Amino acid sequence: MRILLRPFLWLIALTYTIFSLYPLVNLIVQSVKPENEIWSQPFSLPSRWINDHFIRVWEEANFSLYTWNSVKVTAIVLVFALFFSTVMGYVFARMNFAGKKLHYIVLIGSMLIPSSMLIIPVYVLTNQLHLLNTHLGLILPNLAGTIIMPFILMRSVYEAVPQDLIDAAKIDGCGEYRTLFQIVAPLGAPMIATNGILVFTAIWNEYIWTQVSINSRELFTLPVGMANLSANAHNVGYGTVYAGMVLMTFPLILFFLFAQRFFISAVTQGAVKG
Amino acid sequence: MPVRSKTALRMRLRTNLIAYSLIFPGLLVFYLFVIYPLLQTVAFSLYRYGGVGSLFESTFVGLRHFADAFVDEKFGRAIVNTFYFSIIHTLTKLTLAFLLAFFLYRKMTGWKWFQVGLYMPAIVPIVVSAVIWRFIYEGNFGLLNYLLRALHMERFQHYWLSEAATAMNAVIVSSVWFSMPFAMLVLFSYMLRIPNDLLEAAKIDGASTRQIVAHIIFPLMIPALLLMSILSIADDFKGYAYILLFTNGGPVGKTEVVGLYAYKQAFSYGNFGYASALSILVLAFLIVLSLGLVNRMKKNQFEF
Repeated sequence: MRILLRPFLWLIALTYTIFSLYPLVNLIVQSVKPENEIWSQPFSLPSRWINDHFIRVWEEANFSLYTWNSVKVTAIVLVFALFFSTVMGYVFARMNFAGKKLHYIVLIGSMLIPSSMLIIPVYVLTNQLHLLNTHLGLILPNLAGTIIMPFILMRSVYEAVPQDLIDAAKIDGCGEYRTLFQIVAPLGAPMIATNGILVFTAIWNEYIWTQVSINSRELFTLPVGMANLSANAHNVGYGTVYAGMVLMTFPLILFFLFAQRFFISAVTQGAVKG
Repeated sequence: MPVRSKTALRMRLRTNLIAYSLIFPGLLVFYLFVIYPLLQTVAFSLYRYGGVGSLFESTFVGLRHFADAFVDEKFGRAIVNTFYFSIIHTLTKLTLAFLLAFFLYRKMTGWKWFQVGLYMPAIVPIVVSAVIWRFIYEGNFGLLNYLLRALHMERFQHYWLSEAATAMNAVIVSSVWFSMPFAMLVLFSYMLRIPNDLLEAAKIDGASTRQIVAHIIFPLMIPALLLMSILSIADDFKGYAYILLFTNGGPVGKTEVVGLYAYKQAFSYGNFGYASALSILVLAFLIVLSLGLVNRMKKNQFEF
């Protein structure tokens, strides 16, 4: 029997897209429904649209605070991760120094180590440094765990920079630092944007380490706040949980829609080069 | 020429100094929070260590933890679960990803919209995915059972996440939801690199689309598919965040994967030493797996 390839593929794509998107559409609809309709008519549109759940999750369920914590932690890790990966990428691509090969092997080799495995010793170390239950204790391990991929990508960019350009800069009297920061670093801008997306999504969504290391509610980030909220869904109300999920997800989706091209190259470059 | 070699030496020293001044902070954080802990894991695995206080005050047990792991039934069960999960998850995901990547590759009507729509679940934070799918699978009022009731298919209803028979498959379906887009995009980007003249030549020779797919595209995609399978299986052996949030390993350990089991050994039972030994075993397996990949890749290398 001959199946027509085109309609068959189209049908698969359409069905799968509905499977992909419907849960997200449903998320929005449920979040603006009166509480009693959420489970009695999960597929219908709300009888009246309300924003009570959003006010509740933002004010009473502390999401304003969790959002601030997430922004703070993510921003700090992002800045340092981008800075370190750019600088290290340049140095490993363009400079010769003692121990380069060894460090490089260690850096690349560490990609095999599952971060989930490191949680156990990192917990002990963070405890010894008295950093458990602090944001610094979130920032440092997250930073260490996310710089490798951006580093590899930056290194590959800076390896491709023509030597003439660097020589010319040096002849014009730029030292190593100025050559790096004023001449070469800007050439990596598109890759830095790519790295920004990789690091941002990884840290913004990070759950396990925060769950393990943070006890105080006032230090929770969004993922841990969300997990706690959903565990109490029965008491706080499902509408509130739905609103929380919308608040957590839709800024990311909007960001994705605007920076689509960067997102897609971030994803594929990471996999193809890594 | 003592003078020149002295300047050369000074130059080398200067370069070294500059290089290290630039990379030192990054390397320090990396060595302190990745490499040192990694070495510590090895040390922990040899002691009956509870995670607090000095390691050397706790009992040294040598390789006992590793021996224990081999007779630990719960660990055995977790390994079986992880194999089942990673293999079925990977096969389902890659089959769908290949079909959908091919759909995008053919640039059929609306493919750009489809690309955006299909990718969307990958953006959703893992915590949110877990809650969305818990609400879908919920036994009494969940969306799936509601739908089945509405379609008068009550006999297909299940307590999806609390029945042993359905729990793991429910985890797999929901994992495919957020993990497929990544595989699709990667396969798509590999397909785009297939040289056009190959396809043109085949068309001129009168090959049908089906023949082109079967004899050109698919064989050329095998290295990419292989790479993605290994990456995916490795990820499933490493990761447990989603399952921790989604079922926490239940019902009765039916969805407990190795990572989650090690995590619980450390953070629920305080067996940091044993948990470290388990992680090392998983890491050893992953290394063997990726070495296998490297060898395979060397054998059928195909650059295009």
